[in-house]
Amino acid sequence: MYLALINPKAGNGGYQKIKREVEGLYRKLKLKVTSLPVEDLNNLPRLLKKELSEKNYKAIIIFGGQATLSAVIGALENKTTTPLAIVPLSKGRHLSDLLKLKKGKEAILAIKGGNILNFPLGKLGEHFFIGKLIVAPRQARVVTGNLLKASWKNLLKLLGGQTKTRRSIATTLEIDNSCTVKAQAIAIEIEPKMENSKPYLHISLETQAESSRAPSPTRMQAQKVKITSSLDMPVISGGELLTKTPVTIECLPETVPLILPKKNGTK
Amino acid sequence: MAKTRANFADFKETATLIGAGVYVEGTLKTENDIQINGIFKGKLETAADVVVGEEAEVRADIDAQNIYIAGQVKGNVIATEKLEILETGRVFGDVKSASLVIEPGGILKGKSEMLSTEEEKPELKPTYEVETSEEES
Repeated sequence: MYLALINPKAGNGGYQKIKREVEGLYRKLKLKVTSLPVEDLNNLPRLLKKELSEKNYKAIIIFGGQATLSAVIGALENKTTTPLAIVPLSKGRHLSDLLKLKKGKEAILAIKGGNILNFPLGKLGEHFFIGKLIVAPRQARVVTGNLLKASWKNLLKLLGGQTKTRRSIATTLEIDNSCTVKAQAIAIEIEPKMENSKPYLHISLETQAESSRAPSPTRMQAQKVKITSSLDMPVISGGELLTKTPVTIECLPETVPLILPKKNGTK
Repeated sequence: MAKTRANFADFKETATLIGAGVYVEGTLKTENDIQINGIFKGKLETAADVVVGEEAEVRADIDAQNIYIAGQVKGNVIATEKLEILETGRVFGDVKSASLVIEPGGILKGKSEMLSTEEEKPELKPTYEVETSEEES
């Protein structure tokens, strides 16, 4: 038995456009699915707890974007048990690209023939996230599109527009309460990663060096980072503005099990 | 592969890289390589290697496996394997290492102690007992 959580607002009503195809896939794969539309994500923890207490679901299929995924992960009391299959319905392709899904239906097909991959999980305030967060100067435009595929220089072009001037802001990062990093930051990328089964935050900081040489990157690993800046900087995930600095971002010890098609580099 | 100034590019995938123009203060402990191209003050500790770039300024004690210094270090340095002070490197502090190389132009101002990597030799026990007698004349 499978549970499908549907955010009808995600992707401007994207579920309605694929509903017939999805139901056809359920029949084709002989999946018994309980569909649960969630109009208000604030109600999701209560609804999910009720469903999970009544039935034993093999997996949860999520129709939505980063916000829906965050709400589901937050609602799951034991985050590492129930596998999740995500059918991205975001406006941008951030989640699709992160999970290497060309089409959303691949996530449903993977339920029968895919693998489960444990994704490292980050937390920004009450918001859970997978993939990269970008913290960039004030005039950065919130863009949708292929942020993850963009090279570092193209990314800065997308964030800062086509202007040649790259603005930097005095920024302080407190790493794991043990190191203070001060720099003129052009952009900061934070991504939960895993090495030897240990999750951590990978921090990439591009700065404006005082010398005339090209800016050099700074990379660090951490469990927790607090970012403050002289001017507020947007924090962007998948083309969506989440919040502004100051922020505290941490890597969680748990990982989230995601069902992915076998071709997606699962080891 | 031995890391030298010529192939600092080996460190491009370093887990921790402090770029030029970045100031870090605190204790940095990691299992992987560390490269400092900016300013670091505090304590550096890793099971792997440390590279101090030409423009870097480190005011810290460093404890690592191999340490390559092309910039300035003020502090004590312990390298369990190799310490290399390159021609632009300047170290002001005491150093301990199993192997020490100072290139022409490199500066070390402090005490140097070699760490032995030899295994302790087993104590030799006599194969016979020596009898002594106080009454021998």
